Amino acid sequence: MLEQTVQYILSGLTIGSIYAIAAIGYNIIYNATGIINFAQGEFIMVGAMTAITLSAFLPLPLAILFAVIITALLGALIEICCIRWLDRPSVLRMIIITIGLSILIREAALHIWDEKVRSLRFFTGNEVSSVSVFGAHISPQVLWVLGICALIVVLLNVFFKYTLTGRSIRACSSDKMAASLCGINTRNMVTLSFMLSGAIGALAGCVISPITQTQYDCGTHLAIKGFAVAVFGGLGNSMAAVAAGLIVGLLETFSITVMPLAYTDAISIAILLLVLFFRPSGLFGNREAGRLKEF
Amino acid sequence: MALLEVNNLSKFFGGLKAVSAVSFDVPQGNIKAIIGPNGAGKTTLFNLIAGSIRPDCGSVRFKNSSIFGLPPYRIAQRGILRTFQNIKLFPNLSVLENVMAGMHVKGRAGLAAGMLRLPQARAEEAFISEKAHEMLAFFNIGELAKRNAAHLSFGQQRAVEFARALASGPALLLLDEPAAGLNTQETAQLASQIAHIRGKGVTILIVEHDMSLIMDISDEIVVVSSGQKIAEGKPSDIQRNADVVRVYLGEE
Amino acid sequence: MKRYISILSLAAVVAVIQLGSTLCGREYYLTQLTMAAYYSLVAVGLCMLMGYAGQISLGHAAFFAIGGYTTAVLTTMNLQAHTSSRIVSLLVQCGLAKPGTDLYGVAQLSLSPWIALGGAGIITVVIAIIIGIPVLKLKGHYLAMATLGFGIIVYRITLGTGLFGQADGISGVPQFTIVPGIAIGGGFANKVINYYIAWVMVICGMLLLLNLIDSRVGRALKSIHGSEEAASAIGIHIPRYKLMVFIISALFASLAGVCLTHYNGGIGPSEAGVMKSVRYVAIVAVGGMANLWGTLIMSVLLNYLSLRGYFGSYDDAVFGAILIGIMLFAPDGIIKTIRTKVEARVKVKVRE
Ligand SMILES: Nc1ncnc2c1ncn2[C@@H]1O[C@H](COP(=O)(O)OP(=O)(O)O)[C@@H](O)[C@H]1O
Ligand SMILES: [Mg+2]
Repeated sequence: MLEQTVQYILSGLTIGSIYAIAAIGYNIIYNATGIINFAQGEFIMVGAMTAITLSAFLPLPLAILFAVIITALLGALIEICCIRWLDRPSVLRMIIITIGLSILIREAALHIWDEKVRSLRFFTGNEVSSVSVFGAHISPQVLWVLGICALIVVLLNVFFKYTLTGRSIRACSSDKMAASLCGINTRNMVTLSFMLSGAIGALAGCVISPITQTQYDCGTHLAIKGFAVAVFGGLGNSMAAVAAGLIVGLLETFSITVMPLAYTDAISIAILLLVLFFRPSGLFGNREAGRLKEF
Repeated sequence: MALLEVNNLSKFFGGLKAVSAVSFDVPQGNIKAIIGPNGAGKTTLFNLIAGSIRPDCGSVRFKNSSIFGLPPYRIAQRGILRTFQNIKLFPNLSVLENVMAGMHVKGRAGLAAGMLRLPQARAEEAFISEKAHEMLAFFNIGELAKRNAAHLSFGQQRAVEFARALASGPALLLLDEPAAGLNTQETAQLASQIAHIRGKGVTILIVEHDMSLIMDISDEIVVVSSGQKIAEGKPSDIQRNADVVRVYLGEE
Repeated sequence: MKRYISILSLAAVVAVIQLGSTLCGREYYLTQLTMAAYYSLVAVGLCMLMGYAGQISLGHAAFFAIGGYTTAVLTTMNLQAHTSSRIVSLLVQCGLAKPGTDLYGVAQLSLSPWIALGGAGIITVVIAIIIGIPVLKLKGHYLAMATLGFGIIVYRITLGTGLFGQADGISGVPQFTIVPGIAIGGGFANKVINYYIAWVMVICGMLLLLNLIDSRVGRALKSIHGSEEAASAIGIHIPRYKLMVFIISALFASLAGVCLTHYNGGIGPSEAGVMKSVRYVAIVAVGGMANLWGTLIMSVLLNYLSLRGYFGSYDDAVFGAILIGIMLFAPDGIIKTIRTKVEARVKVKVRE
């Protein structure tokens, strides 16, 4: 009984932390530009796919490193080609552009990597190795996921609080005009946000790939979950997104015990709709704080 | 019995008292002006009366029934129409359509009647269109009817917005700084238009910074500062009121 | 007046294409043009909602699927086991349920498509109201995501529910006999009739919508798009009108779903997919948002090319590229952008 509960909790936290990272990816770009990047899920897919390809002839850490760099460059490319030169585009226009991008990336992935389901090597051990936690047997990869996601959150916090670049990005998000008067190149900061968002998406894609496997179209599903989590925590507030991600992950995992697997996706989306209807500022934000922008 | 009675109306934005315990009446057929320095709470007062912001406390009565806390569309349906300080036209509609839209509350035609172009809907449409043309002619912008409302000069935009508010024949018109941004000639024209409208029996509540216009057309003036009413009276009295001169006219 | 001329020209073009293809012995083109017509019905309905009233919906394929699946379930249901029940015998008496045999010769008593059509209409309106009331309070990204979420939920339900045939969908949907001799579906013999049925529907739909945009209600919808604050200040009850246009466009989609399901003899979950919804949005965007004619033209063109397989395995990619290209370079739609460019050229020439 206890083992099973622990098992569920850990797998809920694992998937939840991926959602949290996706949500943070949204928030970084949202805070810098006010745009919701519908292609966020594709960063995760591209990161994992690239790492899988590279890992055939590179050691795993190097493959992941290059995958992260390539995805970050993809983020920069998107920003430079499709966002940077638009003059105050409407929200509708941005929604449609980023949706178009997500389709193009997905279709490109289909032609590069075909429809096959792939997965990255386990970081340590293999699919049968397990460690025991409170009597439950879990894959060591779960620990990798939790560890790396925690690390991402900590590093981002440090980056945004203590480095000049991080602070410049925050300055841009709270007041673009003032930031540019202080000599910050706000355009470049936006590009940087896209790169950052791409990079953490890719890293998340790599750590989760051995467990959930990766296919060209897995991004959409992660994107909508990530958005659910971002809204759940209050759009723009990344620490709340972490909590929200873990909650959604747990809810989803436990919902499997009471309803058919086919409907689990519907659960988190139903949560998204309920939150949107009743508390659009998020569970953790009051209406005022909803507008306050954390990293 | 006054047309509009405002009693102890208050609105707080967090700790800021944007409007605090303001009371005044607008008698039927009068032109009443509200003046006061920038940030005094004049626009907020309009928003409270028109329902676009919900008041915290007090009362607003129109034609002797309470309109406190009603949504803006209900207040408009009762006959209070407004213009905005920073003009809000429908940029996706033509000038004529903007004014026709202003007569929404005068129409009855529903969805089915419109989709099927039933005779009743067609007759109504013809009536509304004719009335809208009259409105445009009154404001001397008849030749703009087909133009897109997004591509007009500032003065023309003000005129279209005024026409839109007036088209449905409101009982009370709220004008928020209608002369701002107009040149002297346009302002003079505006003054005569307002006088003409009053002559038709429309009651007007106006916020304006142009003192000569205000002194010229208004029957009574309310002076607000920092959300509070500090004086009320005839234009000549207000000009002589020491408090008013200090907080408002003195600044000019 | 102008709108009747355009409608008549559309009718003429429709007839000319049919005659041309029949004379040239290329009637197979009509199949894709029939399907394109039904998809266009969804697109022009969405154009009303998105272009004119300014409310995006990334879940419109869901309404198509709701119509299609409702009629598929109802008309393939076998009532043979319930012949003793009052309601069923009443239906049979009124001619609303017909005995017959299925593919394997098993006796079958199935509901009339008219009942299914009515049922689809009611279900669509009910769902549109339940979803529309909360969703239409949202704006911008929130509205986009909420409608997308609604679409995904419907997709998941069609995919996961036995009643809807899961991944296989529902097949064996009978033809929809409108009057004896005229039926939606019914195989290849009925190509020309089906083509005209579909296009008569599109023409009627266009006429209704063209009338609507120049009516009192249409102005109210457009003014909501222009400025919600000003719209409510002139007495427009915004939630009511938003819901109205949402229901109208849902009904257009649902009707198209019903008809195309009878035409194809079945429906599958891909019709409810996110990519379908995105396609409809793409078509409205290319058409120029607030432009019914542009939407119709682009819809027929793109759907026809896509259905005939011109885009090959790049089908979805083409729609993605279109979305980006249009929104980056011609946010007013392709027709209007080309026209302004040409007009500018002409002006320059005239001056010279
Ligand atoms: N929606 C709002 N939220 C917070 N403060 C507001 C809001 N609207 C107005 N205020 C504040 O209320 C005060 C009065 O503003 P306003 O009514 O626009 O003044 P006026 O029209 O007299 O220039 C100002 O200090 C303004 O900053
Ligand atoms: Mg003001």
